[in-house]
Amino acid sequence: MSRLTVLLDRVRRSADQGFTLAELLVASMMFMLLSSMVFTTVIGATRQAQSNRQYNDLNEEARLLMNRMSRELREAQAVKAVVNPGGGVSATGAALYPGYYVPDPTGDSEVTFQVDFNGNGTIEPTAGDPEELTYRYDRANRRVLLLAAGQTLPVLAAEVEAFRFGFTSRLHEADGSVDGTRDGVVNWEELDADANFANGNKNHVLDGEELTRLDSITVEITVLKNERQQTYRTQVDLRNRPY
Amino acid sequence: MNRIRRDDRGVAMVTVLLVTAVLTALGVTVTQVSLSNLGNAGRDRVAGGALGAAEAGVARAISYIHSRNTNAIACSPTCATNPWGNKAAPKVVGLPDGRQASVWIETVQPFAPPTYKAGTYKIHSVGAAGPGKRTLEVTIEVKPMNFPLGIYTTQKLNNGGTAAVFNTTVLSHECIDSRDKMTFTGMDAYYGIPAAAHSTKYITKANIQACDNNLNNVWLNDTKAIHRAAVGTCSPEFPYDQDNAPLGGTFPAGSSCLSAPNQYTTSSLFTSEIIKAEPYNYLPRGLKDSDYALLKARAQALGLYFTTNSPASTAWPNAAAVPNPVVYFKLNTGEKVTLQGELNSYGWQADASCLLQHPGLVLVVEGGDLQLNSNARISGAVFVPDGNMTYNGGAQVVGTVFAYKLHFTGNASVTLNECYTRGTPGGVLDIKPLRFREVDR
Repeated sequence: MSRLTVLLDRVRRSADQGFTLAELLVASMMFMLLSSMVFTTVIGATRQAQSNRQYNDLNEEARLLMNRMSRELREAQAVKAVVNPGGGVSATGAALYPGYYVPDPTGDSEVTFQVDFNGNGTIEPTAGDPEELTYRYDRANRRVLLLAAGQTLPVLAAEVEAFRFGFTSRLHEADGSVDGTRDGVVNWEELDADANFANGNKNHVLDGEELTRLDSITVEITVLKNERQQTYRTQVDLRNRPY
Repeated sequence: MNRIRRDDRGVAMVTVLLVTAVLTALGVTVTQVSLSNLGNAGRDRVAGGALGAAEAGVARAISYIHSRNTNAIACSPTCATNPWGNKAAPKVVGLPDGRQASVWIETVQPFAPPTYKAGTYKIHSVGAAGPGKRTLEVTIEVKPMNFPLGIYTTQKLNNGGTAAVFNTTVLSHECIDSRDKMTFTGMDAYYGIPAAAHSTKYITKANIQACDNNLNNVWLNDTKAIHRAAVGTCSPEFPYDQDNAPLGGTFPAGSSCLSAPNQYTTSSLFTSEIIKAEPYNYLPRGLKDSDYALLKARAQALGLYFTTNSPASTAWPNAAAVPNPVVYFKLNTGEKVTLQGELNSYGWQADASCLLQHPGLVLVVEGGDLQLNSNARISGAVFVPDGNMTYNGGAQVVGTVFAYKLHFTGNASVTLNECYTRGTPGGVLDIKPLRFREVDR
């Protein structure tokens, strides 16, 4: 045979040989390692994206709730009832009057107010656009409910870690009526404790005449999903108070 | 082995492409979420900005009424030359950051004393911030600040001339002398009662130096008191005058005062309590200190706040340029502002049809005195809470006066007509929001 024929025969034989077991094992392991790395990355990133989306939706819902409630409160002409109101807090977050009022940490909170949406001078709680609204924090189910015209709507379905109110007044004469400290802010406890100007009944509950003295409501909502938490806070002046 | 190596070369590329594709897909997702979040936050911000612009528009509309009067928007919603009263082409209020509001004022119930002592208006404001728009409707009530809307003096009214009083009420927290030297004509344009004199002490035709604090003396001995023992509680000569003479009270049956034309009261009694209550709302210095502070601020904004009694001739306002200004003097006791014709561009006397837009100012002289000389002609609300106000000769005022001491000399003319009341200068108007509504709820 010529030298060329010998060389071609050797090449043909080498190409037909296949892989050794060791080669296959190494290749498989490399493939599995690479695949697992890729899939781990994909799954992790997908989860993260989903979490982001959910968190985004949650934020958006909270923001919508705040916007909606702010608008309605701005137009409110009277606060009708309050259940388990938050106590006054200082700038550092400490309770201002711990001996006067202690919020129920396990109870639901709610505020009921009236808005004359159609401007006819009458509050119509069961109208098509109900004019008496209650926002309630359903603590057990971590959601915020809107109660109106006999219906209950979960306006923020879940993940609500906290939903707090703050109630203040411009009746400066009542400032300091609880403990003598005049800090320039009149909280509802001071209205309750002031019998002279606010007609407060000193029953440690926000009710009766005190409700008619409220000028401003602070709303704070905290949503928590997994470990991601976001707090929104706004202060709304009641623009249609008749008094 | 070289062949095997050559065969593996494409695997790296495929792997890189795969990973890149996956990472790109994830990146796109994260970007979409972030963009969505940013978009929502942006829309929130824009909506808040638009609401703020709409609120600014409402504030500017209120400010406009304060700087003019409600008569200026009587033509609303079709004012041809005033965008504040034009629904189709409203006033565009620009804000420094590019936001703007389109505002116009609707008349719900015009301020038209004596029938409507308070007006109701609705401000429509559309705020725009970028692509965001928010619409507000704010209903307001407009009425004068609380002070006696007539000719008022805390001290004795010194009536040394022959003043002519048209369509207004003269009130004194002391006595009024030389009553028969004053002539009253017509119905009070604000209170809707016959023009007349009212004193929380007594009214006499005598020319006296000082009021007698013992009203019994007056009742029994002053033969010129309009309400005295001999006359009783009804003075047929001045059937609409009221004072605090003893036994003043319900007119007896058959009293000629009861049958006087346009009779508005059944009693001649006028007390300190009556003047403090509605509708006169008397306060010791006419207005609250906070109201004076407000007027001072408005005057300062116009460059019309003076601490001298003789500002430069160029400093006085002109009605053609500033139709409803606040002019505020802060003087020391004894200092006096003397008006010749400096403010005569604000003077007008009568306009039966009330079709024209008349100017009117708010003039405050705090601490010192004010003298209107014979050729002075002004229209507006005048306050001299601490000193003397003197009308000399034929000085003419259309509007209201509140003075600590008031002197009429010569043939002064004082008028309060309906044309003035409808155009009461915005400086003394009290504007209260009645209803706030966000339309695009």
